[in-house]
Amino acid sequence: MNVVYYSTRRGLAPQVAAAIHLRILPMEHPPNWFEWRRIPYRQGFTARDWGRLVFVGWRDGHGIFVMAYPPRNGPLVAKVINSIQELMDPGKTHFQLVDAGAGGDVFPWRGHTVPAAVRELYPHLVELVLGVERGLRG
Amino acid sequence: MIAAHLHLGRLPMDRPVQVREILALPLFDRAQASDFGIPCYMGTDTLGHAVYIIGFGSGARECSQAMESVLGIMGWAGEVFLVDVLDCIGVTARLGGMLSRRLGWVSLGRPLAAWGMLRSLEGLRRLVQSVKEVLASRHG
Repeated sequence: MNVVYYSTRRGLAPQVAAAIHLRILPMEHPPNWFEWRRIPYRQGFTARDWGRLVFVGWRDGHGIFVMAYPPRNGPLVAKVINSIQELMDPGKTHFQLVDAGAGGDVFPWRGHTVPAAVRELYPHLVELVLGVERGLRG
Repeated sequence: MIAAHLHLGRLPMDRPVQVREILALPLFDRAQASDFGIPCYMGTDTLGHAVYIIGFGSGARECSQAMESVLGIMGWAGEVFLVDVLDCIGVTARLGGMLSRRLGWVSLGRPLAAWGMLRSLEGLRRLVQSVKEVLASRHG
């Protein structure tokens, strides 16, 4: 199974969730600046990347991806991913799409501190990742 | 859709085609927005390749990137031959399609789209021919 974190708000929540999933970021507390700097693709994506599934790492045999979610056609892209996997391997789910930005999002930040929104969102993102992991196990 | 019919031999590759033949095709100018993103099986060609069509609406670039990502990650890229036909479609056919599908002016848009398709037919035939040659070379 591959997990694809995306955000309809098009912020950094997928990258943060993927980093939590891969234990690049701590589970217990919001990241400090040094931990924050380790987040893959924390600069965000550009229009050239829209629709791409970007591999971030492996954990427990599952591929972890983030998707650069396009502003207008996000639901259509998600539909394409689901319909292609159904066409190629009917009845099986190879990609689990997870909206990491459902509870809010964090936007690319060039400052030398952790964006303030992260502290508020972090417990929610940890819970989201734990839920995904429970689903993968069970 | 026209390219798929050419590929499957339901439209001729050599002789002229009439507007009424295009209009008589069952799926011509019938796509709804809800059909976008779902592959539609059109038939199997003489070499045994299943032929599908898929529409991406205004999300062509991001949808094809997502599709290529999925195919690449799963190792399915060699099993699917993606062909973008949009470059072969002229302004007239696009305008007709927009009038019919987006604005609902079917009686004006559909014949215009069919006529535009006739004007784009040679380009589509060349594309289909090149696809068939590539598939035949892969086949052996």
